[in-house]
Amino acid sequence: MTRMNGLVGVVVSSLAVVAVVIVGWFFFVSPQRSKADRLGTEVGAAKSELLSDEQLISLAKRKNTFGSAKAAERALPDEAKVSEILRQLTGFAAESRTELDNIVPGTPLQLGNAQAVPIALTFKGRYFGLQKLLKLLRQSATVSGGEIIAKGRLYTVDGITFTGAQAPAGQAGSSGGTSADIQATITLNAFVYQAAPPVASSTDTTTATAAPPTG
Amino acid sequence: MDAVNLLPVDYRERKHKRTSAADNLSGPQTIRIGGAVVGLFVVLLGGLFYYEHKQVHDRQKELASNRAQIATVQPQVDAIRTARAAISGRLAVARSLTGTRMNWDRALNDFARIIPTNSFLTSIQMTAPVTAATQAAAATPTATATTSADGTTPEPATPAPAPTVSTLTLGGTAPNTPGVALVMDRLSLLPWLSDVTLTTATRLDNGSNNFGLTATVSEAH
Repeated sequence: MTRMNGLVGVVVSSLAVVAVVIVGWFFFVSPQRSKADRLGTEVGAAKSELLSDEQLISLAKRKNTFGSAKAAERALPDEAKVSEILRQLTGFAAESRTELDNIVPGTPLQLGNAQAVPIALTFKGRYFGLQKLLKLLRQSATVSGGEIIAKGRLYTVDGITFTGAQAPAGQAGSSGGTSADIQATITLNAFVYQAAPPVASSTDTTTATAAPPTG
Repeated sequence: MDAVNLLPVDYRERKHKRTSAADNLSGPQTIRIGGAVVGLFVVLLGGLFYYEHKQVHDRQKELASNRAQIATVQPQVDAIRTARAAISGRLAVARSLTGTRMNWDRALNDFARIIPTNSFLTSIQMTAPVTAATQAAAATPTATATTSADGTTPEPATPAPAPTVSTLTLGGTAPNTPGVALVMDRLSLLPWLSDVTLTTATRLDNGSNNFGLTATVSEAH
């Protein structure tokens, strides 16, 4: 009887230990451990995301991303904003001491992700005034060092046709140093950033008459 | 001769029995020891559980804190990403346009310096690979940039094959035919112009010549 009781005690004790270990490990410790591991992974991912976000913000502050974005939108807005073009061209004319007698926007044309708004300008002024006007148009928006530097819209000039008039014919063109006024039609393009293809409309064409010369 | 067992009678039966460690343990004693071991494991597992539970709690707190920080910066991050997207799309377009844009002010300055005083230009047209004029010309071959706006819908997804160089078309008047030749020679001196070609030279009644020239503009201009 004594011997049987001892064996039973050992067996019962062993079973109890095993049961406690199994139940404790698999029902209490292991789930917590798995949960902790999963949370650890999530914490790692969150930390990594936070670090990446902070780096992005820091880089954006250093590189003035918002300023660049504004400049980019100034150069290539989402809408034609013809009124803005008129104001800019008038400003350029005043700065270059020239006259823009006629400004005729044409029908927009799709160019990949941009829409070109052709504009015909009738110019009157000195030859070097025209040169200054073209320089202002070019410097309105440029790309430098991988970023858009823009004071205004991006313009490209397709052509200049001298129509002559007030100046003697021999001086109306490009011969150097003339002080006579010349007349020219400048064909240029302003651009609208637009990925979707536009619907061309002939009613877009309007004519504007520029302000009197500012001297 | 029979063997004689000299052991006392009480010990004779025990000798035949096999003994083990358990033989020396009593049931209650074994249960007590087992209970102690179980208790030890319970404490050990409880400690482990507490440790892991604390880990979970700490990580949950850390995760919540990180998520809160992410949520705080998220509007800024979204704005930056939007700004970046706006920049990258526009930058590609601007690069393409400015890369082929002619420096007209420099061109006019150069023309003023090199063209003889008795000759003058009446028109200057630039055909750049990506200008609207090129597109318009592709859509309506006979139209110019301003006259091609005929109300028809252009094909947006099929840009015209871009030429590799930009072409400058010049029209003007010279006092005579040698004057046209002189204009051509002078234009050839410009480092950013090459292949100056005469397209037309028409003698007028007064002896002067209307001429048309084409030239290739280098990419560096």
